[in-house]
Amino acid sequence: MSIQILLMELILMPLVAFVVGLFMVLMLRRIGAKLQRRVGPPMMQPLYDIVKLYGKKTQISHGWMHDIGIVMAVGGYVAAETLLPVPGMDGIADKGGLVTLVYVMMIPSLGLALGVGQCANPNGSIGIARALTAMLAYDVPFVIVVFGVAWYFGTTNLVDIIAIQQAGGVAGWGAIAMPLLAIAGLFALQGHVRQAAF
Amino acid sequence: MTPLDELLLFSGLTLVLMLLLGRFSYAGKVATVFYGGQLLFLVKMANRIVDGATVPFSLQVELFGQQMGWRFDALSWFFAVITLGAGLLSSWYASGEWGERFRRRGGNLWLLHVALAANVFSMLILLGSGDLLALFIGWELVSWASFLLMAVAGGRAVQAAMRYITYAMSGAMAILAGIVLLWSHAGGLQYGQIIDVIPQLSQAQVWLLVGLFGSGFAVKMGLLPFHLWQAAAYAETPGPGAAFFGAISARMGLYAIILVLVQLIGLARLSELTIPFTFLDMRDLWAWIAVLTIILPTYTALRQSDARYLLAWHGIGQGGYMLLGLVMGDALGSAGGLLHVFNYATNQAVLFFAVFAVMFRTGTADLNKLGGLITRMPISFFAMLVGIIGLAGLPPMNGFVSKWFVYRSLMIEGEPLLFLGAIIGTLGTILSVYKLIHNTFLGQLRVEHVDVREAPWSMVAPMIILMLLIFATGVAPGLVLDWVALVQSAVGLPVVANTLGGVELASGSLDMLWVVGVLFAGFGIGALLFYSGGRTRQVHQLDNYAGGHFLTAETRYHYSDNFYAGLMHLIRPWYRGSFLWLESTLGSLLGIAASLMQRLYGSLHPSIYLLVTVVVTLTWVLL
Repeated sequence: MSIQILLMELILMPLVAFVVGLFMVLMLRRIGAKLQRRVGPPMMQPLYDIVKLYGKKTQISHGWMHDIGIVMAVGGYVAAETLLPVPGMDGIADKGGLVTLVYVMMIPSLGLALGVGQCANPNGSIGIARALTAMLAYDVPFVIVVFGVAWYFGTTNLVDIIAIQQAGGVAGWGAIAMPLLAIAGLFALQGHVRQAAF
Repeated sequence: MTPLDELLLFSGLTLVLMLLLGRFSYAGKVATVFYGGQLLFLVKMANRIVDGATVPFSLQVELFGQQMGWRFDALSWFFAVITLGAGLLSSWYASGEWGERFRRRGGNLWLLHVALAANVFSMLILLGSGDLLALFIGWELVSWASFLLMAVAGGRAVQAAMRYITYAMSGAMAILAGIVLLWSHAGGLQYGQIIDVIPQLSQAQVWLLVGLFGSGFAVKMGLLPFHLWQAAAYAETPGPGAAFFGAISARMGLYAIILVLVQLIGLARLSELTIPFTFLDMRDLWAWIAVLTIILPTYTALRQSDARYLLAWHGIGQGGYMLLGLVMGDALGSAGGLLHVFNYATNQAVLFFAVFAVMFRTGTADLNKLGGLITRMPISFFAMLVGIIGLAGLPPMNGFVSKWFVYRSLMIEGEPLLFLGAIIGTLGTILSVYKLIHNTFLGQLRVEHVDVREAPWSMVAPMIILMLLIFATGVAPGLVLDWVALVQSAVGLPVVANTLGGVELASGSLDMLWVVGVLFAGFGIGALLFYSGGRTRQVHQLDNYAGGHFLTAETRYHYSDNFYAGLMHLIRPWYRGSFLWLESTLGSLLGIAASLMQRLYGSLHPSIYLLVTVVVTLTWVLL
């Protein structure tokens, strides 16, 4: 792969993830609204929210770690996106693999925790203590799933894991071959995205 | 003169100089320069080590008809680099204001310098041992030198040091018994003779041998169940000493384990030793000891409210990763274990430096009496941040790479339970180190700490060097992995085929150059997004409110005590103090036996014993 294509992928992959992420946030809110017999937000609401956030008049900073914490959060997720293949683009997925992806995804949590810590708000600190305790709870099943996947496919290279599944057809999908592990993974990821089920 | 002659002579000279000059204010600077000199001799040795040769020591001693000699191979060299690096930076840290303050407060700075130099010297002698007799003598020297440094502070430190020396002596007796056992079969104590005789020993004999040597070395390494002495002994040692201990001292146990269990007995032989009535063998047992050593001390660290004790407990836990990687025995796992010795040393040293810098300025390491120091001591904060990211094993710091190697090895070898144990330890570490940095540097600044300043440069400079080292070897782990590969080939383990950025494997590679690259690109994007928003207003650190109420600086609202209250509520019943109970039971039993003997001896006249002994001996001789 030429360096130009790789660089383009590295720019495009986080963008794809950004759009998909916005769409998922929208879906989450719409489905939640439907369950509660509300109309729910319009299509572009997640974008409006971002514009609104940027338009706020008073933004408080409690110091440089407070700011860098947010930068770390965004940076960690952007980096994680380039390690996770999207259709047609592999980025640098083969340079890190599954284990690295899991650990890069912890950097945003650390950034947020440090940022909140500098706010010196006792409620913030309590929140972080609880969030980290929750992390202990959902990361243990999550790494069991990661181990299972890596063991089953015999590799931690995400590109290879995808290729093996595609070669095997629907029956070769990890979710078909290891349904219990897949359900466990879904549960653990529910914790990862810090969302209640409904 | 060989380079090893020069190194050991120079190290001895450093010790003599400290004995003579240790009381003068410039002693710390002299020591730092001399440790630097020793490092240079080590560098001079490097080209021979890279060629796979051993560097001999010219002096040979004959003791009880046994040839005793010293030499440096890649394994010795690797541990010596870390030892001297830790010694150099620790004495640098002590050379300026810290040492002055220590002396003004009634501390014995002369003893501290002498003890540090004695530790470095004795460790180099141990690392150079060319046979089991030299190993044992080096082992004893290290034990007593450690005792000296531990006891410098007096008071509780002496108690902790006494506890250590009790453990160390019991361990040494076990090692001595192992050596006698080997000598009776091999007729000598040269490594070559022992490698030859091991295959002829029965399974039961090797069992006994591994038990004796293993438990002896496990004491120094702080492996379960011999770990109780370590945290207090290291934490109560004054600043630079604690950093030196934390970085390398306990790893002498690992060095000896590698030497005897891997090099002399061999991991393959360990796998043959099955444990009766189980499906485990000796190697599994070691792996499980390693995992328990990871988990239990890490969660003990989580409960500590003194920053020094917290770090010291983590030190015990991190030793488990090294052992775990090593007993996996494959190229990846053993490389991870060895790499972690280096990485952990840098992390632990910088963390102890940061904690003692805070202690230097505020007078306390109590995590419930600090907070908000980030604005007052930004460099120390950053040092601690780099240290905790490394210790917790997150990218981009070096601790991640060594743990990645160990995890990958466990995945490839198919060890789900060991893997889970290692991850539980890592998660506990993340929780615990966040508490450390939060309670010290984040949150509310106490009124009495408003005028605190950054630590002086003599203390900050070693921290900056370590930070750069942690980051550089995180981005380019190949720098250290090249040495690790040399060590692996020297001790007969499969050799890792590393690249500058990590390792390339068919089953999933790691290239930290790319990973860190995209991470920092991500930080750049994050900064762009964040700072393009602009118009943030900086508020004063003490300008705060909670639940709609303004909080004045006098109100203490820093959330620090019982930080993980929810978690502790769940896991508190698991802390039973079983090992403490075991230790005190053993102590009581010994006490009872001792007083029984005393009663027996005191109630009868000693001359009767003498008579009985003489009669028995005469009978034996005559018959």
